[in-house]
Amino acid sequence: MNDDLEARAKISDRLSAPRELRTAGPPLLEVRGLCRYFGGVRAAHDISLTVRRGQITSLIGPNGAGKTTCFNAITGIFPPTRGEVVFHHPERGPVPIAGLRPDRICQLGVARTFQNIRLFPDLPVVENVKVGFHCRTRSGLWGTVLRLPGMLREEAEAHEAALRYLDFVGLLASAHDLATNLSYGDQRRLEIARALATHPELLLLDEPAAGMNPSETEQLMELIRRICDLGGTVLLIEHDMKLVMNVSDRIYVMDHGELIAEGDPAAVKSNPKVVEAYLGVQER
Amino acid sequence: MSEGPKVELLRLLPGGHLLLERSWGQLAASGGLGLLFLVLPAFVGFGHPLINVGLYVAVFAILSLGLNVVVGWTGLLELGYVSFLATGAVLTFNLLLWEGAGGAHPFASSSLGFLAIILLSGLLCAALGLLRGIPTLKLTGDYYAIVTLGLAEIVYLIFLNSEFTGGAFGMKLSSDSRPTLLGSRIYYDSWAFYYLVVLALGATVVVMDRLDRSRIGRAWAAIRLDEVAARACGIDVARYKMLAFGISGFFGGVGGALYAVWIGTVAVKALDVWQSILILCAVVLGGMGSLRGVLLGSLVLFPLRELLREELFGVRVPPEASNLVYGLLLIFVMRFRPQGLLPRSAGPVHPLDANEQEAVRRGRPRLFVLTEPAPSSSTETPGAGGGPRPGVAHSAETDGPSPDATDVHPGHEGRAATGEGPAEGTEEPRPGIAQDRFSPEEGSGPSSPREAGSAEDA
Amino acid sequence: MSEFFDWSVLFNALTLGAVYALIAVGYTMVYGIIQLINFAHGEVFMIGTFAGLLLFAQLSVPLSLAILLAMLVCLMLGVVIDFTAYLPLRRKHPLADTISIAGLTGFCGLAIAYFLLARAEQSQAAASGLRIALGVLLAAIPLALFALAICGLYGKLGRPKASVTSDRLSALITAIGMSLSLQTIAQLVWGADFYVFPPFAKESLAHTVFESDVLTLGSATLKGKEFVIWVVTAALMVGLNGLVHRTKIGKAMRACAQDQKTAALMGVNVDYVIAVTFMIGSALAAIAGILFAIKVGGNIYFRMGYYPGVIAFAAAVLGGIGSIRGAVVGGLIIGATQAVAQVKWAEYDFAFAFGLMILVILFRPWGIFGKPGAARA
Repeated sequence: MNDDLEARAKISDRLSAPRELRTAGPPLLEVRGLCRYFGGVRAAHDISLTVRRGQITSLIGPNGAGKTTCFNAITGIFPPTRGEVVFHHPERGPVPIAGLRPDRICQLGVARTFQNIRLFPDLPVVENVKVGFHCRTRSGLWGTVLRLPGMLREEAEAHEAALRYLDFVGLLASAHDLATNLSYGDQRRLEIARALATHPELLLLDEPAAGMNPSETEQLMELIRRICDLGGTVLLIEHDMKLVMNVSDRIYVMDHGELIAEGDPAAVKSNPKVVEAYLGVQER
Repeated sequence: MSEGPKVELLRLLPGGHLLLERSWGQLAASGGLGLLFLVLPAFVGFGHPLINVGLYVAVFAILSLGLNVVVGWTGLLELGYVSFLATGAVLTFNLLLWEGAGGAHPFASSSLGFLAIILLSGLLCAALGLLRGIPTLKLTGDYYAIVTLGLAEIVYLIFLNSEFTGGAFGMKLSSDSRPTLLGSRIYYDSWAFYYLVVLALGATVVVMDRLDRSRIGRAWAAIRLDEVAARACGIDVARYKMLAFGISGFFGGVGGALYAVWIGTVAVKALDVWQSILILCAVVLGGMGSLRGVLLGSLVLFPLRELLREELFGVRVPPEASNLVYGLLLIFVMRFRPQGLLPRSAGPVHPLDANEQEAVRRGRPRLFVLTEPAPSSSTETPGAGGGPRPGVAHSAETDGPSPDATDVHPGHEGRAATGEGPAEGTEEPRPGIAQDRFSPEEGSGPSSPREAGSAEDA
Repeated sequence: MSEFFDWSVLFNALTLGAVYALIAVGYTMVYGIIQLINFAHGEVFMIGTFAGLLLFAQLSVPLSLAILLAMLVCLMLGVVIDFTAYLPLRRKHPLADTISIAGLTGFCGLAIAYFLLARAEQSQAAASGLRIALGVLLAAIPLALFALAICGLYGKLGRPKASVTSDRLSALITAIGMSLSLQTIAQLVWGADFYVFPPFAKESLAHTVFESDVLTLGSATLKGKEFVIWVVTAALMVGLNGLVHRTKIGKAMRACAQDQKTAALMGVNVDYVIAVTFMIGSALAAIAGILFAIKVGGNIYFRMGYYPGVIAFAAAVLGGIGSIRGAVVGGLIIGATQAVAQVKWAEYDFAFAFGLMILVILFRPWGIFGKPGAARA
């Protein structure tokens, strides 16, 4: 009870305080004219956005605005109907990723979490994270069957590294519990740990704070900040305007499948279109 | 502490550290099972009905383990596994009966020939498994089951109406076409064959166990539990499904070859789809995805079939009744214990052992370095201080307090961590590339609350 | 072309298609509502045939009445199958679970006892009395289960299980188990012999209806029994269509097929609707079985339901699972495939039907009348 109130108070404290934005790096992900239609439904139409390295970029909008559709199209869950998605790979330069398979996109360095948590419920927490290491480890059939030293070393390292990721998100103590036994907030954090384990250049978080209480949200906010401080880049979908305003460096606003505004938090907050999308028009 | 003697004992063995992951119970059970198979002939002699049952169990245990790869690990209900068994058996018979130039049976006359047959049979079935995987790759659930069933029926009908399988009458191994192993013709009653089968079963168990606890096994589990999430974690689902099909087919072929020699007469008519259901029943009874479960299932189910052929307590139970038992078992197990008799263990139950905590604290250098930092970005990053900037959020921040599940004051904790938030963070030395993050020097100061907590736990 | 086409092929295709359609309706309706391949449906077909055969041949019941009674038997059997095997996977109710599983086990035990008795002392009068008693008991258990299922237990069966969809593998395995059990029970009770449907007495009405030649085209003759199969199937399908689209229970069925939870919230007794679905499908399977047996004349044995069952499921998929229209069209297409294949490759006729099924599942899993998005599994 008290904690909750305290946390709320802190959030409002921070909101009122002026915040320094992270400096923008070079573009990491560029989406140009992305469209995704389902039959006649324009779930996302002509979306263009740029995620810059080292920043927290947010994609916000009311329910059904098409945010998750954008995520799915970017991460290859389904291909976009039209449009370009270019990922600036540190070694390979700009790579067009629209239409690639999700596992290829993940291997290139774009990881995501899901709005409706998608963990592997029957696996222990630490194994969940180790699944994330899959695309960063090499051992194949022969290494496994013959227990070659390389594979054993890799496994040991994966285990330790997984534990460190759990430590990072604060789940070390429950490393050997089944994922399904975790609380809601912990499951969300585990999903972030799993995504981090794929070593993403860019981390896409789909409503990570949905269903969390204020103190959990506060923790999450810190986690996202720390990810960014350690050099990660985050693209965030969120409903919670307070959270978004608090962590984002750049915000894109969607409504009815289209972008209606973009800019830094202060600019977006005062944009009449955004207010209209969220609150409706008062006249008429 | 209770682990002490076991640890000491096992360290002496080459590769013994691998056994450390098992409990005493598991070790005793597997050792006992192995011993049972090895010394059984000493008590009853080869050719005894009991040995015959043992061979039957061993061959079908190999098949069950093979089926388990697809059903238990990849989560696809395979109803056509009998095709591999039939293909392996038919291939084996044809090669054994194949007469060379001088009227000799080239494959039947040397040990190498027979081992080659087993391998060939396995490889052929692996190839067929892969081939079948191409169209069925996208299918899941009921549709995968029914398509494998349909394909198995087609194979069955082709075999039933073909010359090379002996058609409805089947094929029989004459005494001079029986395979040779270690210098003598083998049949179900020869010691060489018995130990060959036991060896094959042992090898299968070892291979399966290794697969189960590996990156590959994890990938299969991920595919089984949530295919979309597995893809999003970078797992090439098609590739790993194909791998499962191939491995499963391989063991089906090996089992088929051994089955052919064991039974001596193959009537394709006996290898209908219900035989797949029988193997499936062993997997389901023991526990889908659980190695020990599948072994237990085979050990319980297959002797039952033989047992029901005999007279029990003066009552002659109809052999058909065994099918009834299998049918009811499928219903009962799914109703009351869908995870099977001996489900897969979920790993250690203790929170975290000392070694693991130590590993986290020590923060050894890691090798998962992905990407070189982008040179341009470092200059633009505030406070990067010329240090290369990691492209990745490389985890495990051991020097700062992290929100902990046990933490009672998350708000407070959060505030502390925010100390290095966007504004102040600029003064902190930016983490270098991943290795540095985990080097001992950067390892935590003991003063941090997180560390204190772990120390207490340990 | 002429090698494959003959009027007799067309007649055969339509007849096979009609029988498949009758069976496929049972699959398609059940799958449409609970997304389960009711593997035991082929066994219902088999048991319906046996029931009709016994009533007609051994108890000398008039054919029409025998068919009606066989339908009744299968109707109850369908409900009992759902009650003992599938319902407990959807819902938890300790008492009903215990009763159903005890009933199933007892039934199987009785079947074994019946078998033993039949084998052991066939000559003794006492044994034959015991046999009859056992037979009555054998019939009594399903009857009791049926009564129990209908008398109030449906719909009051505790809480639904949390995850119905993730249990689909369990449900399918249960269905396979049920199929194997029923098959084996039939084998125990009736043996592994092939039974023959006896020819009708020369002057009887049935003989005139079934054995007369209706139509002769070229060298092919359309027998009365084939024509009857077409007419009966057509009439039943029209009636069923009316039931599903015009009546209250039909509306409830369609609602359950769309969304069970919402239907339940709107006051539909979902389990009752499912039970009715099983009843309809099973009763139609019984008709299909008897008509098929009359047409073929023999081949009645414990495994006779397996191939037609799987093929009929293929027909249901081909037409678009959940659609009655689709089941008919799918049945006709599969029947035609098989009839054409029988001309040249008689031993492979089922292989062609299976092949068609696989192609459909691979390339058009939503079937002819389904929508792509609605493809399940």
